[in-house]
This record gives sequence, structure tokens and C-alpha cells, in this order.
Amino acid sequence: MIIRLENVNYIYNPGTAEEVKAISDVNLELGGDSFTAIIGSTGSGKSTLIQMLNGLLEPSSGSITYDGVPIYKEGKLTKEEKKALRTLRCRVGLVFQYPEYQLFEENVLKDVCYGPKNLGFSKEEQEEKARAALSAVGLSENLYEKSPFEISGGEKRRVAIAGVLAMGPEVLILDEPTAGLDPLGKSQILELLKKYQQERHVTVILVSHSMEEVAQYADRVIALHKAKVVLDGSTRDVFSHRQELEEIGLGVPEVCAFTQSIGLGDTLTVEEAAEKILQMYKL
Amino acid sequence: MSFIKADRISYSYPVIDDTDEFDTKKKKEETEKPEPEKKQGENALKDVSMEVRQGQFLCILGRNGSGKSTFAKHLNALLMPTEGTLWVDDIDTKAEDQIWTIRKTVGMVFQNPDNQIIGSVVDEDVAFGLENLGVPSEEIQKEVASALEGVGMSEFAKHSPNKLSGGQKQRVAVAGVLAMRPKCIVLDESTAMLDPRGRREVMDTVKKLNKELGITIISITHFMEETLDADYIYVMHKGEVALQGTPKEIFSRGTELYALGLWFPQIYHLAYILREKGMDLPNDIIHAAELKEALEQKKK
Repeated sequence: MIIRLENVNYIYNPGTAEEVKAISDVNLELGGDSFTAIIGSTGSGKSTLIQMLNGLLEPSSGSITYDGVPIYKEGKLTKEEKKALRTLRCRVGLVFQYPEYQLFEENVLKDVCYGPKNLGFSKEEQEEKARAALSAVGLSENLYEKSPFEISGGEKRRVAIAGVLAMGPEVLILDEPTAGLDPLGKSQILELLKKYQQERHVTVILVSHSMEEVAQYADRVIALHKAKVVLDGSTRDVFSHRQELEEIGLGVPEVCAFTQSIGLGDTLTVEEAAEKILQMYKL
Repeated sequence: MSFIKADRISYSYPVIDDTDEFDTKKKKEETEKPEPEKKQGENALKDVSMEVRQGQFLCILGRNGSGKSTFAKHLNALLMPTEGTLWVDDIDTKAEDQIWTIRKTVGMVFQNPDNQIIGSVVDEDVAFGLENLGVPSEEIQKEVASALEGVGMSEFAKHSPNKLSGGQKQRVAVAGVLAMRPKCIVLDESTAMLDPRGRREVMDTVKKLNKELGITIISITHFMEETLDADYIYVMHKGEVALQGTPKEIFSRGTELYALGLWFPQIYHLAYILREKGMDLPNDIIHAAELKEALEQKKK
């Protein structure tokens, strides 16, 4: 699935003294077989952007299409377009920040069934999808009957992600899914996302403040600054713009800064840096 | 002499007993055993001993749910140990008449910047604690001004907090604590929700307060890079202290760290891989400058 944004603007409180332009004239094409990261400092427009991608916010102007079908455009959508929109929306899943606060069912399995249930699947199908999603996030079966409030923080986060995975989205968008987790919890989530993306050749869009995880997992990086897209390209390409990234409050992973400082250029991961150094010393 | 001393403290969260009264009675008859005095959950802290000296920069690490935050809440008597004793500046935290002294001594900054700001103007927010203590307003103004200066936020004194970035909000929260002239500031994952610049701002600010004013800093974090300059690290696991030592001692424990909710900071990790591949490097490199120097030595 391809999501295309054309001249998209989003303005909070238009026409008042509090007017804020959160997204300014953005043109983007997202989707396909990609693990995309969206980076940017607090207030750069990331959350507004991703909420427009799955139809939670309507752009103030401009158009958004899913595979060519408009989900928003200037002027009204036709009846057919509205009908198509409903099915299309299910194909784009959004996981909010701290999604574990949104768990509500009496047990883990039921919570994950909620999405497929709303999509109109039979009880058997709901369970089948929920079980598949829970196993994809690596949650052991003895937790399925537990209350979501009895399990650990990292487990809760994975249940919440499973809830969206169970709907089988072709575009899975996550807003800082690793915030507040310990390193092991972080890597479990990133690995499961990578697996989901690679096995299904779908799109995962990750909003993150960790340049290290972005460098390690993403193949494409989009940097936002003051409501605009300022960098967009392959991960390697974007992290080669160290100065620009630092100017907008971000930066490059520590290991990348290190290899630059010893004249070995950009590196994305610790492993890559090690290889370059070993080559230099012919080991 | 230690400023904070935890002597084998344990804590268990109270459990709401929702078992049916009839069932309990029946069970009691069946087993004919006296009911335990108080029903309690699993211990969130078990036999934890720690010592912190005045002026130290200490980090507490560990997995989610390992007891770090529970311990932190003991430091300003939000919680009190069920067993053992915790002294803060020589006061037993169980001394009820001293609770406000303890809370003035140890200030807390939490994770979410949006949940800790109450004032509609930055300087009002910073003044909140002092106003509650009934401090004369002239003195409040002076303290607030110096606290805002301490965190580098003076120019925002008359701004509305909701227009600040995450890092700026957290610095305002630090100023609110600082205005109370604490001897110690506890950061409970205060950088978890921030962007890279915000994280740096907050860490630079507290490091400065530590160096210049000698305020003890206790930082709970999942970012290994934030611990490199710590004087000492405690690692908690399942409510217990699993490891303790300097950053170099801790990170040189190798891959066992992963199970404890830690991982190598990138530079240490890089040096680790290089050693694994046969490069002869000291095994306590954690800073970029150290690795750079070691590599240059090799060239010669």
C-alpha cells in the first residue's frame, strides 16, 4: 500500500490567537516494503503527521490518498470514496505512545480480539488472529488468560501492539513504541517489528527519539523540523547529514560520531564500526 | 559518613483482600491454621542495602518492574519500608514528625513532564512548593529566580509552561525542586520521554547542580549513556540489589547485563567487539576519548 500526501497542511486552532501550524506543505510518499523511521524534536509535527496518515486527523488543506484512493481531499469525498475509505482504514494500524494504558479487557486474549471483533470477524477467526498476533509478539500462552493489569510493563506494551497486529495492517505506524522500556524490552519490540515487516513485505513506520535504534533498524528516515520535512532518504544518507541533524536538536548515534572522529566516516551500527576499524588495522 | 543509608529494607505493596469472607472462613476451618496477620503481595523490595554519600552522582539501573521506582519513593518517604531502616541525612524515614524535613531534603522529578507542572506561568510553577511552606513572598522571588538560573531557564520565567519543549519542562520541574534547596534530587526516568536535545539539557543541568552546588543526584534510567559519568551504580533485579560498582566495573560484567535489563553503551560495545575479534584493548573503555587514545597507541 502506498500513502501519498500532497501539499498537506495542518493548523491547530485556526483563526485564533493560538493558531499553530503543525504540518506545513508536506509532500510525501510512504509505504511499500520498508521500515521507515520518522524523527524530529518534540513539537516538530511527528504526532500530527502520523494521526493524519491513519485518518484520525483531517488535514486543514491538501490531499491524502491510499493506493490512489483519496481519504481526504479538498471538497467532499464521493459516496464510493467514503465506502472505500472504511475498508482502507483497517489496513493502516496506529499504535499510540504508551499504548498499555489503553488495555481494558478482562484478559489478554480478549483484549487482542477487540480489533478483529470490530472488523466483523467470527469468534473463531478473532481468536485465531489474536493468538497469531500474541505469538508474533512473543508472549507465552500462559499469559493469555491473565488480566492485562497483572503482567509486566514490557509485556503490556507487547499486548497493545498485538492488538493492532491482529488486524493485519499493511502499514503499521508506532509512536515511540520503546519509550520507557529497559534495553531488553526495547530490543524485543524492535525485533518483532522487523520480523513482521520482513516476513510480510509491508510497511512499518516508527516514530523514535533514539537515533541508535533508528540507525540499526530503519531503511528509510524522514526528519521533521518545525512542521516541515527537512531530510528524507535512506538511513545512511540521512545520518550523513550530522550538522543538520544536530541543528534540529537530534544528532547521530554515538558510534557514528566516533568513526567520524577517527576519520572512518559514517557508520550506522556498532558492528559496522568494528568492521571498519578492524580493516584499518588489517585484523 | 553516608547521607543516605538503606539497611536491609524490604517493602511489599498492600494487597486489597477481595476473597469472599465465607471462603476464607471455610479455608481457615479446613486448614485449621491461623490466618496470617496481614495479607501482603510479593516483596517489591527484598533486603536492599545501599549507601550514598553527600555530593555523589548515583545511578540505579534495572529492568522494568525490578523495584527501582519503589526504592526511589522511599527516599522521600512516599513509601516506608515494611522491614529494615532507611536513613536520609540521619533521619529515619519512619519518623512521622520529620516527614516534611525529609521531603525538603530529597526532591523528586518524575518521567512525564506534562504531569508535574501546575502553574500557568513558569515562575509561579517553580514557586509552588515554597508558597505551600508559607515562605515570605520576597524570599520566594529570590529563590525562584536563582532556581531558574540554576537550570538555565531564567529567560522563560514569564512564559507559559505549555509552550516549552519537553526538556525545558523537565528543567522547570528540576527548578521547582531546586527552589526548596534540597540536598538531593532523585530523577525517576526523567529523560525517558524526551528527544535527544531534551535529554542532554536535563542531564547537563543536573550534572552542573551536582558539581557546582554539591547536590546529590540519584538518577534512575534506561539510557546506559547517561550513566558513564556516574560515581557509582546500583543494579536492581527482582527487588534486590544484583550488582553494584563504578560504571567501568558494571559494564565489564559482559553479557550477563542483558538479563539484568542493561546493555553496553555504544563505545563500550564497540571496544568489546574489537577485543572479541582479537584486538588487544583495555577492558574498561567506556568513553570515546579513551577508545580513540587506545586505537592511536596501536598505530604507533
